Amino acid sequence: MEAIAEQKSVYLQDYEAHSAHQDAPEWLARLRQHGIECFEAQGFPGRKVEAWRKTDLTPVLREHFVPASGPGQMGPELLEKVGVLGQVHRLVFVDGWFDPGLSDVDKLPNGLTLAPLSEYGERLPAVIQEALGGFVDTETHPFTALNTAFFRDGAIMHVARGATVEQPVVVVHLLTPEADRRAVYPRTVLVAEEASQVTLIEQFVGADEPFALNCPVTEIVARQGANVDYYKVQEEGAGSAHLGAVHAETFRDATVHIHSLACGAKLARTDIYANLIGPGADVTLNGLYLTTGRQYCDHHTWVNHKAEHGTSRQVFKGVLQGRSETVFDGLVKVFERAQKIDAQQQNRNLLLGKLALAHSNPRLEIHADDVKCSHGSTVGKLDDEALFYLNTRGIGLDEAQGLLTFAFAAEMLKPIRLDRLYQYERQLLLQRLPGAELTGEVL
Amino acid sequence: MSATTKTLEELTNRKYEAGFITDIEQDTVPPGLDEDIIRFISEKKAEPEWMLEWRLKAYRNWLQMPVPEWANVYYPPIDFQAISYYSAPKRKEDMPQSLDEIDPKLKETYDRLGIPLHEQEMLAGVAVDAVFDSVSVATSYKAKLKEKGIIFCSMSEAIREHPELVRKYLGSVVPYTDNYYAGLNSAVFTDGSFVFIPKGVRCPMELSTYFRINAANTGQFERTLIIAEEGSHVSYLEGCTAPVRDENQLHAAVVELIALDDAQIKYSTVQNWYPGDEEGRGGVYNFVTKRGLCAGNNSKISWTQVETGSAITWKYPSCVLRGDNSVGEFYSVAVTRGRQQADTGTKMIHMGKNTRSTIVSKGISAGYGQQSYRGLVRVTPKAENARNYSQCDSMLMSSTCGAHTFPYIDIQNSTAQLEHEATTSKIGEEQILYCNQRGIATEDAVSLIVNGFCKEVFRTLPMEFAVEAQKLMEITLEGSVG
Repeated sequence: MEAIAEQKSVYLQDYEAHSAHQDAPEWLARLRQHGIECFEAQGFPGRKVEAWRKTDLTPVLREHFVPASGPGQMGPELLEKVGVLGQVHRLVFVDGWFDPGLSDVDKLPNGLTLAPLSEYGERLPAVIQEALGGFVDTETHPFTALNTAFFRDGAIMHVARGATVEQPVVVVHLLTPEADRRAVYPRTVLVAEEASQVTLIEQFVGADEPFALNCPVTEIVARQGANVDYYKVQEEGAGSAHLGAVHAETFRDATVHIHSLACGAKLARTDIYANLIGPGADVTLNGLYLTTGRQYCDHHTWVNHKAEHGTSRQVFKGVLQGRSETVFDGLVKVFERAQKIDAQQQNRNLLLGKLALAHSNPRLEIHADDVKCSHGSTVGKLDDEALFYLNTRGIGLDEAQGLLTFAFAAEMLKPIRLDRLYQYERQLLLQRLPGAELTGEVL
Repeated sequence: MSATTKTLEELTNRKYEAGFITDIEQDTVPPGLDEDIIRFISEKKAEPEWMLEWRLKAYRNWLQMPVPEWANVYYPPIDFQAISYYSAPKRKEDMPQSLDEIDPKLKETYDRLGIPLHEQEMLAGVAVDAVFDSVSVATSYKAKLKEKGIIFCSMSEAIREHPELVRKYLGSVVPYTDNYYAGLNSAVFTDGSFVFIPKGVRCPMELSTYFRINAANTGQFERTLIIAEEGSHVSYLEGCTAPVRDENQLHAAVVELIALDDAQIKYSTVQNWYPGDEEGRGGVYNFVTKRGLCAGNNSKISWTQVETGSAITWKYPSCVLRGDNSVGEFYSVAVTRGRQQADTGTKMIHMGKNTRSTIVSKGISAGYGQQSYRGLVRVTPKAENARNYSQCDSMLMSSTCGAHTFPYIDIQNSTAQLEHEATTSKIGEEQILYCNQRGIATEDAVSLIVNGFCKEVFRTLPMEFAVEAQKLMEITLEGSVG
C-alpha cells in the first residue's frame, strides 16, 4: 500500500513540473487540472478494487515513468509498420510526438477534418472541446485521469454531417527504443456528426526493447445515425505495458463497430466503454487476443444500455499459449426503462499452454423486463479427436494444432471490412500459431 | 396483459402467510456483544474450555475484519451491539425425552406451519431435529439412527458427547477467518445440527431440521456440521419460516459438509424467512456461509436450494472438489418480489483430477425484487480434466425488478472444459397466447411456464421437499405468475 501511495505522489510531482513548462490555453489547462485532481483522488488502483482485482500492476507501479520528452530514433522494422495499410489518411505519433513526415493528410475529402491537437492551438472548435474529456469516466478510471493530466498531443478527427469518408483514417502510435522507462499518453478524439460514416484504425506499434508505459485514451462520439468502424491493433514490443481505454458514446440510431486485436506488450489492458444513450443505437464489440510466454492481456468492457431498442453484440476470443494469463470481464447493463434491448455477449478461450490461465467474467445487470439478454463463456483445449483425425491424415501435431487454432481464431477476423487490414491481422495471427511455418504454407 | 398486471399486483401485495408469533417465555440475554457474552453462551451450554477458546479467537479475529460491501445488496449498516445473542425457550424439565414432552405452544407453532412432527414421523419417516431459536427441543428417530451408528443431534450435544469429532472437523471447511459473517457465527453460534455417518452406512431416512426465528431482536446463529465417512450416503433437508417482525433480524448461519472417499451428501434447503413488507421494512437478513469439502476420491456433494423468503439473501453454497473424480452440484431457484434482494450463487473449486461440477440457477424477479447470481468456477493447476457446466436463467416479471449475473471463471489448467450460459427474459407473450388458444387461462399458463422454468431444479429435491417447494412457489407467485 505504501509503495502505491509513493508512486502516486511521484506522478503528482511530475505534473507540477510538467505543467510549469507549458503555456496551454485555459480550457486545456483546466481539463488537465481536472485530470490530475481525479488521479489524485483515486491513485493507482489496488487489488481490492473489483475492476482491477485480477490486474497485477506491480511492474508498472515499481517503475516511475516520466513523460517522454521527445520522439526517439527508430529502426526500419518499425518504419515498415507505418505503411502496411496502403492508401489511407494517416497521423503518426512517435513516442507521443506528432511526426509530420510520416503522416499523410494531403488529400482529405470534404467533410473530414484530421489534424493533431498541437496544430489547433487555441482555436480548437467548440464541438471538439466538448467531446475531449466530455464523456470519458475520468473520475472513476485512474489511467484515463492520468492520460487527461499528461497528454501532450492527440489525434483530432471530425466528420461533418452526412459525410461519408471513403478511405480509412489510420492513427499510428510508435514506441521507439528510446521510450524506455518513459510514459506515453496518446489521445484520440473522433466526432462523427449526424448520418456520417467513417472508419478509424488505431495501431499501437513498438520496438521490443523499451519498458514503456503506453496509456492511450480514445473517445468516439457517434451522433444520430452516424456509422463508425473502429479498429484497434495493439502489438507493442514484448517489454512494454499498455493500459488503454476506449470510450464510445452512441446516439440515436447510430452504429459503432469496435474491433480489437491484442497480441503485444508484456502487460496489456484495454477498457472499452460503450454507452448506448439514444434509442435504436447499435454497438458491436469484437476482440481477439493472442498471448504467449508470460504475457498478460486483459479486456474489460462496459456496455450501458441507457435507452430503449438498443442492440449490442460482443464476441471475444482468446488463444493462450505458454504461461500467459488473460482476463475478459464484460458487463452488459440495462438501465431502468430501457426496454426492448437485445444484448449478447460471448467469450471463448482456447488454452494451448498447459500453464496458461484464463479468467472470464461475463456479467449481466438488468433493470428492465422486456429484454433479450444472454451471455456465454467457454474455456477449453483443442478437441483431441479432431487432432487425431488430422494425425491419421498425415498432418503433424504442431501443424494440426495450428490449423485448428486458426479455424478458431480466424472467425474473429471475418468482421473486418477492410481487406488490407484483414490480410495484415491474418498475417499477425499466422505468425502466432503453433507450427507457424508449416501452417502458413498450408493456409 | 392486463390479467398479468393484475395478478402481479396481487403477488406483490400478498401477505406473509407464515407470519405469527408464538408467545413463549424466553431466557434471553440483554443485547450487545463482548467477550463476556461469549463466555456466557459457552457456560450456558456447558462447553469445554477448547470450545470457548475457539470462540474467543474467532471473536477477536472478527473485530479486525471489515464489513463486506461487494455484494449487490443494499441495507443500512447493522448494529451488532443491538442484537441479543442468546435466547432459549424455558422448559419445565431439562430435556424432553420424547415428543409428548414438547411445550404444547411450540408444537402449535409447527402445526400452524403445516409441519406436524407426529405426522411427519409417521408418514414421511423423517427424523426431525427441530431448532426453536437457539436450543434443540426435540429429536426423534434417534434410536433407529443409533442402531446404524449414525449420530444426529444438536451441535451443543455433539460438543458434549462427541468432542473429538467436533474438534477435528469444526472450522475445517469454513474457518473463522473465512468471512465476516462466518467469523461472527464462529464466535456466537448457539446451536445447530450435527450429523455423522459412519463408514459404509447409507442413512435410512431423510434427515431434516426446521429452523425458526422467533424472539424479537434475536439473531439466530446456527452451526451445522455434516460428516460422511468413507462410502456413506446421507440426504439432509433444511427448511425454515419466520414470523412477522418489524425490525430486521440477522440470520448468519454456517454449514460445513465433509465427504470422505466415495461418500455422498445431498443438502436441500427451502428458505422462507419473513421477507419484509411492501416498502421493504422488516424482513430477515439471511447471510449464510455454506461450504462442502469433497475431501475423498469419488465423493459427491449436491446442494439444492429454493429461496423465496428473506429481505436480503447473501448465500453461496460451495464445493471444494479436492478428491479425484469428485463431483459438485448446485441447483437453485430463487424468487425475489416486493423489495427483496438476493445475491446468491455458488463456488466450485476444482482441485482433484477428473472433477466435475454442475451449476443450474434459476432466478425469478417480480415487483421491485433485485436478484444477482454470483458464481466462481476455479480450476487449479493440478486439476486435470476438470469439467464444469453452468447455466443461469433469469425471468423478469415487472419493469422495476432487476436480474444480474456475475459469473467468475478462473482456469489454470488447459485440460479443463468449461461452459457458462445465461439468459434473461420475460415470459413470452406468444407463449401465453399459445396456452390461451388451448383454453388455458393466463394465470394457469403463467403458472405452467414458471413451473417448467424451475422443473430442472425441483426434480433434484427429495420427494417431501419437492412437494413443499412446489406449493411454496404456487403460494409465492399466487394468482400471477404461477
